[in-house]
Amino acid sequence: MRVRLEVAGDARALIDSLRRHGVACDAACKRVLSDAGDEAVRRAKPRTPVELEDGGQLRDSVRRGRVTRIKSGTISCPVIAGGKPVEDWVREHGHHKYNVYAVVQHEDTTLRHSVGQAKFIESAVFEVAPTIPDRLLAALPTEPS
Amino acid sequence: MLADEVCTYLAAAGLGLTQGTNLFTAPFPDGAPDTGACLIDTPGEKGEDVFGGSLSPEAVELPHFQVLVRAKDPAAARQLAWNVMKMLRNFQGTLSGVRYLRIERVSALPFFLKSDENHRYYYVGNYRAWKEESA
Repeated sequence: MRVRLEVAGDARALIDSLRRHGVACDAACKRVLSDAGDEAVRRAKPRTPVELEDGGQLRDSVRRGRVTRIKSGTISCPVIAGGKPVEDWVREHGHHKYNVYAVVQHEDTTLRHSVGQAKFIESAVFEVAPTIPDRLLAALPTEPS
Repeated sequence: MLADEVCTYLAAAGLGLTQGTNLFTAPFPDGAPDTGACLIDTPGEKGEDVFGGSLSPEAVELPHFQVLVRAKDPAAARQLAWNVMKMLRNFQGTLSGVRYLRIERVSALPFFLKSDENHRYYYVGNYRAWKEESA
């Protein structure tokens, strides 16, 4: 498919405006993803499994990572469970590998939990994700300065 | 429903899986063979309303599901998980009278999940289906 675009008037002003939009979009996107990530964390924590032998370390470890933009332009916001925050506790108690613990709890849909459920992050993210386009639209400036 | 539709497909795919014997639409029941697979619905995404030729909205579901595979031999478990993935990914067609626009793998390739107290190794793969609503 070929698209021909004719610009009447000041092309330089249009290009400058598009550039400003690009910068403004990045900032807005990071802000929106950061807020959405926080909301996903708030939704995920109550559904994170808490097992009898722990004190909710996995639940407490659910967190938002840093919003980053990679070279290709993709902006992403990780929502994480496990890892460093539960490492010390698991080392002390010795019966779980901390990183495996999180992935098993999240991915093993056959486990029965007295508190929480499998896919505790994924389900929260799927609830929040459809709201992101509207949030982004609202966050974008009409004409960035 | 999706689980029945996909299980019927997998049972006919020549993977050595027989529904009700070593292929299940729920977690492995007690006494199930060491080698087998189970398919479990997981929280999906909101469906989409698309417009067909008549401009009437046609609902598309986006259910997610997980195929959990196990075997005594870790290599066999991994191979079965990959064989299941090869049958499912990019599938387009009709299963039990329901149109599947596409089945796609979600995120990672099938990966090792755990081993249990009976020394069975579990691999898991996550999938998403774009499909017409089941009856």
